[in-house]
Amino acid sequence: MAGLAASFGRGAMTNHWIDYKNADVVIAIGANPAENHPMAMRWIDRAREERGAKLIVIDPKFNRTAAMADIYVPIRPGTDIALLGGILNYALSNDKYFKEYVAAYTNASFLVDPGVKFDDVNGLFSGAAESTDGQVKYDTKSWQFQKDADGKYKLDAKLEDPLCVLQLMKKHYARYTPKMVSDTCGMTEADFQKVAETFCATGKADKAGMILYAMGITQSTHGSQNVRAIAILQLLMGNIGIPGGGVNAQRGESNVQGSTDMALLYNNLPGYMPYPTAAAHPTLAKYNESTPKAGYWTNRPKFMASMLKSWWGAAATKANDFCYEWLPKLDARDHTHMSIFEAMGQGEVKGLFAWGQNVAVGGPNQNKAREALAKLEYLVAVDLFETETAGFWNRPGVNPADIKTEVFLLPAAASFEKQGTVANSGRWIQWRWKAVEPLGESKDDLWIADRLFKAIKKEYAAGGVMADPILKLNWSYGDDEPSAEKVAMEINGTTVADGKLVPGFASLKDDGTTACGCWIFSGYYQDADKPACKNRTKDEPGGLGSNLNWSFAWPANRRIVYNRCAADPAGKPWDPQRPLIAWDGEKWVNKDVPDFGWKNADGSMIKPETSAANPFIMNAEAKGLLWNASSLKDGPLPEHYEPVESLFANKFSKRQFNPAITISGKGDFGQRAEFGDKNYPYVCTTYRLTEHWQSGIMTRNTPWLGEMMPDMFVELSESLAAKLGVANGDRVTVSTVRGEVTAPAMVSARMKAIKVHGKETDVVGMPWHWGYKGMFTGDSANLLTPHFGDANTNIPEFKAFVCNVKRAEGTGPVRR
Amino acid sequence: MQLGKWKLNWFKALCLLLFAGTLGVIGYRVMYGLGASTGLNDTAPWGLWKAFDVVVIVPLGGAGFTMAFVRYFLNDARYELIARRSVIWAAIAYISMGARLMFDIGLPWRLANPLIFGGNIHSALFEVAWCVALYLIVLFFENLPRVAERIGSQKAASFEHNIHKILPFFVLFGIMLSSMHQASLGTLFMIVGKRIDPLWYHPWLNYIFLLTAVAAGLSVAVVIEGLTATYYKTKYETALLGKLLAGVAVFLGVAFVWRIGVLVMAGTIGNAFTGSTASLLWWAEQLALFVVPLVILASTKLRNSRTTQQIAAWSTVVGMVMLRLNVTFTGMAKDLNMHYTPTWMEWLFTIGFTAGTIVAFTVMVELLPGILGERAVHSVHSEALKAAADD
Amino acid sequence: MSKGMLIDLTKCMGCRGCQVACKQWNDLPAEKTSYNQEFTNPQNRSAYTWTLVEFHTTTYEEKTLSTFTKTQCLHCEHPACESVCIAGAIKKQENGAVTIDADKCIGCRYCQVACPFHVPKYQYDKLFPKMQKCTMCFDRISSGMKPACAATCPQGAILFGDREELLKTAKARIAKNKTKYLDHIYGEHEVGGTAVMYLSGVPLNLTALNPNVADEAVPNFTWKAMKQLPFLLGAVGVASVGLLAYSKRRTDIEADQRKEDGR
Ligand SMILES: Nc1nc2c(c(=O)[nH]1)N[C@H]1C(S)=C(S)[C@@H](COP(=O)(O)OP(=O)(O)OC[C@H]3O[C@@H](n4cnc5c(=O)[nH]c(N)nc54)[C@H](O)[C@@H]3O)O[C@H]1N2
Ligand SMILES: Nc1nc2c(c(=O)[nH]1)N[C@H]1C(S)=C(S)[C@@H](COP(=O)(O)OP(=O)(O)OC[C@H]3O[C@@H](n4cnc5c(=O)[nH]c(N)nc54)[C@H](O)[C@@H]3O)O[C@H]1N2
Ligand code: SF4
Ligand code: SF4
Ligand code: SF4
Ligand code: SF4
Ligand code: SF4
Ligand SMILES: [Mo]
Repeated sequence: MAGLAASFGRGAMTNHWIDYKNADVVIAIGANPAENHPMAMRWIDRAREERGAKLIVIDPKFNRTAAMADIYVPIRPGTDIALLGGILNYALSNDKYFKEYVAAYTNASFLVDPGVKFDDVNGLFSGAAESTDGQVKYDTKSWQFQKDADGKYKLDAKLEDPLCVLQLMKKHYARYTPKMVSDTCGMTEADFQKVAETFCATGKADKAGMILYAMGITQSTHGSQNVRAIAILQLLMGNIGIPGGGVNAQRGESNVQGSTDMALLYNNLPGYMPYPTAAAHPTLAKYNESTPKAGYWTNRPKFMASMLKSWWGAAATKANDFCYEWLPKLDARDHTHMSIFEAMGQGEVKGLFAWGQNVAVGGPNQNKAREALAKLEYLVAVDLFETETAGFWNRPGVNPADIKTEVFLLPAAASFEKQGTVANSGRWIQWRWKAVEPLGESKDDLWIADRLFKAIKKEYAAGGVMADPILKLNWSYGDDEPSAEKVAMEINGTTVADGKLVPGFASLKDDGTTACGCWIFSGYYQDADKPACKNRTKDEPGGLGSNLNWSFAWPANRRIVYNRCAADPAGKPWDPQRPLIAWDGEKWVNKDVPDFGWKNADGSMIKPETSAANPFIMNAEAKGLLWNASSLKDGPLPEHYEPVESLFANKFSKRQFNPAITISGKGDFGQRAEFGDKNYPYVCTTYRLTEHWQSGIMTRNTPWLGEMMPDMFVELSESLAAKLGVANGDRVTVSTVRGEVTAPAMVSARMKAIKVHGKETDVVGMPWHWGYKGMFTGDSANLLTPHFGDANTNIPEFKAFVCNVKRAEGTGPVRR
Repeated sequence: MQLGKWKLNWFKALCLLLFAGTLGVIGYRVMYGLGASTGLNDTAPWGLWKAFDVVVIVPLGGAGFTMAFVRYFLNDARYELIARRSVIWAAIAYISMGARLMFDIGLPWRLANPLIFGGNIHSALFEVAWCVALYLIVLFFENLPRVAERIGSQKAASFEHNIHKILPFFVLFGIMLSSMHQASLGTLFMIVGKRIDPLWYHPWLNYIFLLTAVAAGLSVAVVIEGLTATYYKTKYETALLGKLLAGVAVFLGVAFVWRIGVLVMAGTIGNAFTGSTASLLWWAEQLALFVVPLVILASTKLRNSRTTQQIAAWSTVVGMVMLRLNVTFTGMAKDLNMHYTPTWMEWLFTIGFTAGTIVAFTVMVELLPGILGERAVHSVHSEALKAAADD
Repeated sequence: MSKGMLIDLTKCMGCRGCQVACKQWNDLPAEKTSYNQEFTNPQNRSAYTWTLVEFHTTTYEEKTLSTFTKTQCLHCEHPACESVCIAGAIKKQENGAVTIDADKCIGCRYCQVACPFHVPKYQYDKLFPKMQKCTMCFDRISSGMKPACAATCPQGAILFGDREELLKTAKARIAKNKTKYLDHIYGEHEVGGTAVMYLSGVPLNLTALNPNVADEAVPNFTWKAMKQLPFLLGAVGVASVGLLAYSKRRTDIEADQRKEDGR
């Protein structure tokens, strides 16, 4: 997500599921839609049937998507930047990119400060300061563009200046030669060429190429840069903002999009407003000072004021900064999943709410994580089942008597037992109605949250430190059964005076006259009787499939964001066959809600030239960012580094792995195999299966699903099996510095040894869906996985680490 | 007049013991179902009970219609006694077959439903069911005279007299029914077409079954003669049996040539030389069913010596059994990818039931008059009997 | 109008939604299974698993190839199972479905022997067993719904409709994409035609479909023999009576002979 925001301005899928049918070439890299997003395949299939589209799958494992692919190319886990950089090089050095588009809509022409350098020997960008653990900290403000006297960006429209972004990229990626790439990624040069040529054929006005990615890309110590590389490629090909194009992040949990929109991430406020820190933003004024100087984010103070107003209602006034001071502020520490567990391991965390999360299976380095749970005073699991988390105290091999943690399990109602909205990857916010009554005593999460807050408020009523933020909090969703609609209206936003629902974020103000829970959602619940998120009208078939009257997509019901780029600067659609938005001479003809200024308040049309200058309204630079000047911790351009645990030395530079990440996991959470450790000769990766969901506790409690995929297994190539003298079904033990997993060996043609820098290399893979609770049990893959992650998001490197494999006693399933 | 008595001996005792076991198995089968008592499964829908207790027993009972044919339509009174024994045997065999089938089908109490509520005329099995049912009635009448004799009153005698007038029609009817269902047992397996092992594929398997049923039927008669001669000291009619066996030879001959012919024509004969289990079983079958009997019966001398007669007859019977079992198991094993080992209960059921059937036969033979020919009977057919005696 | 299903194997991605949907709609229990290299599980169709997606992964033309084949009753146009059923319990319905009437079935299991695709499966584990198989969701299609599996398939790999229409669709697809499809509609002619038909992109021996079934309608195999029963009867009858006449004559002559010899 970080990589997307750092390129286009918003951290979400640029297009939407149904738009897949408009593609000419689809790359699924580090994503396995056939197994994990089955409905996506339907639209890909449409594209293939109706447009003769090609599907390219780039994946270490021949998964079920690969089985459907026109081109399948294996890749060594953790080397996607090498591949993508190679494709960039191919496009740049063979003029395969979409020049007009790149010149008009990206920052290719921007001139970068002469001081900004990349040291390709040491693999470091300028602005690096060595930090204690041998890693570096970048001055992320040091990769700026040149500006003229009156603060305008200096450009070279001809893209020839050696300091212009395009030239810098050319230079940077010239090192990514086909040979280097194929040697690094473990693919043949021929395969590399096939992918590069097939995909770069979409760098034309009338061709659309789409890239799908998911965890194979993000779960890496350079995950954000992986995404950046994809984004850059798509900008070069002119595939952003157009039907059948885009960088489509296929998100996970059915409502993970919604929860990140609602500030699931610790450093966000709803609607992706940065979370204030105690140090930098003690006052609202200070916070607002950090508002970007250009782009749509300049409106942020309005969204902030409206949010605070919706939180503290009457108590929030302009005079008291809308109670800004009541808003808890961040300290300097990182509070992502792994950091929380490291703190927990240090005994710094008293209590944990595992609310719809099964952390004792899902998180990395489980041996440590499960120990850490025992350091808690109390643990509350709000869940459908007794998860491994809720039952960590009586897991195999521990004596419950030794565990002091007090554990509560609150039975929650499942998604179809309650109503509310779910936001999908395509940013559609869809209302869902209750299908069945909750089972037994289980309760709607909203009900649980409501009761919890009311109980807390009661406690504070008796007095306590900082009681006001609680006592004065605007909390009125009903006395007994809280109403999801009421919550929805609060999120949509109202004008305080008359309590009327606002039509959209455009009408939000910073003077306290409007209240809005989450500005990007604004408009999804404007009409209380017929809210847009309950719309269910399909488009006529044959069209582009925007389906504007089916649910509501944030922002402002735009289906393909940055859609100004679907037409040339004069407003003429690049591809007359796929006219998403078009300027017919005096007015705009739209098949989507424009993501740009097209109409004045008085209804008069805004000329295409104006919007052409500002196709990426969220970016201060107003353009698509080939070069990111500030927002990422690990560099303005993606550079290949090896995964932290790797069998191979980085051949691109002396830097072995991402210099900007932190690997010093507290309480030796950060255990890792040192480079060259002969005890771990194989590459290991983890993934999902259609039949199971995540930590598996839901599917391992569903007999029909367990029946199909009853047991944990370890997938390895026929060649490795031969080497180890292991037959299919024989038990093997996979070990890393962090732990061991024992399971039957799945010897299959899905895994093949690859040639990396001339060396036959074996990749071992396994699903991570098992644990010690439920009807079907087995070892958790996360007993093996490393506890360090991406420089920007700190998402763990679940997808690439080193391991050993040994023949174990016996054959067949290992159940726990 | 003195009547025969049934005497227990160690052999019958053993048989009864086995049959007691069978009753136990039946109890278990009825309480716990097929899966619990047999090795049957989706890869082996038809097991020992179908193969032996139905598909094999029926041709064993074939002694009845074949001998009835000889007695009444070759109209040779000298075969009267032989015919009587065979016909009794047939009745016993068919009754036991029906009883056995009842426990093989999934829902025993529905055994007769197709006949009562109507079934499906396209089904060979339905056809078999009908024939068997009717043939049982025929057998009842064919044996009625013995019963009448046993009762022995005048009334019975005159009744017997009347029966004898219509008996030939029953017999004819019986022969027709038998030819039909003996053939249809082969038809049963034709539905699998070429899915069966080529060695047992035959475009007209039904006729192969019929021909071998006739041969085996006559052979069973011969076997019965051998046994009664030994255990009941009846007269062993070497010459008469020799004639029967000549008939056997003819039927076997035709069947043999036709089968091999088909294999040669289809060019599948090669499968016999692969050395596979199937091919070995095939050879064993050919040896028992055709080679041995035909070689023996080819020589007039051997055909008219008791020992060799018995060898030929036994061999034919065993060969026929092998053919039926091979078709049901060996032939289908590959296509069904059969995983089947009969449970001890299946074995006990089959063996015990067969033992019981034999005992039942001895009961009939010993109680009913005019079967062992030990006493002059006052029946209409006394001449015939005499003729039979003094030939 | 006789319905059918067209299963396009080139669209199937092996998600097994159909397998679960079938169990859900037909209230079939999960079976005990355990690890299997090919994802196929349960290992075989059974009285409790009427449709099974069979996985097959190999190296073919130097490339890894995975095929997924949804197997089920093909609802033959001339069903072997129906033709052999002693009780007339199996019926090819107007709408194309082949169904088993549990109240008529006596459990002879002849249908299991007869089906060229080994479809009917018996509840051997039950005291009062039933013969089970895919019903083409007779209950659903009789009330205008799609079969559960077809309704579930995310890929639309299972089309349900009039057999004739499906044949047209199938032919159109092949015509439109000669490189993608084998020029063969499995079930158009096999065993005299089936209501459930398949399109494949790879040689059938790489799928779970049996390429070696003849086109002749299976019931003919036995019907050709049963047709002859009347003649057989005639023959036997005539022969018997003829022989009777002949042999009577002979015995009379012999009798006379004896008398004369007596003198
Ligand atoms: N059935 C099912 N569906 C799901 C889920 C589930 O658990 N079950 N989970 C949901 C959630 S939360 C998420 S986040 C999504 C995740 O969806 P995906 O990201 O598609 O899930 P994964 O299988 O973890 O990873 C996708 C592929 O990445 C490959 N891969 C591993 N390492 C690398 C690498 O270094 N480079 C490349 N190019 N590929 C690599 C794996 O082999 C795998 O095939 O799925 C969602 N959908
Ligand atoms: N090795 C490895 N590890 C991974 C990954 C990987 O690819 N490889 N993927 C990572 C990813 S992308 C993710 S998203 C995480 C997921 O990790 P988790 O989120 O911990 O795993 P889930 O099983 O999705 O947990 C969801 C829990 O919510 C419960 N639940 C379901 N519905 C409701 C509801 O309505 N209310 C409440 N209260 N509870 C509910 C479920 O029973 C389940 O226990 O795993 C991560 N872990
Ligand atoms: S998440 Fe829902 S829609 Fe998507 S594939 Fe699974 S079941 Fe279908
Ligand atoms: S496939 Fe088998 S069970 Fe289905 S209709 Fe055809 S013969 Fe009957
Ligand atoms: S088992 Fe039932 S359905 Fe099958 S043939 Fe016999 S009676 Fe008919
Ligand atoms: S048609 Fe109905 S019964 Fe047949 S496989 Fe599909 S869901 Fe199951
Ligand atoms: S549901 Fe459709 S795609 Fe999934 S396995 Fe079944 S047929 Fe294939
Ligand atoms: Mo996820």
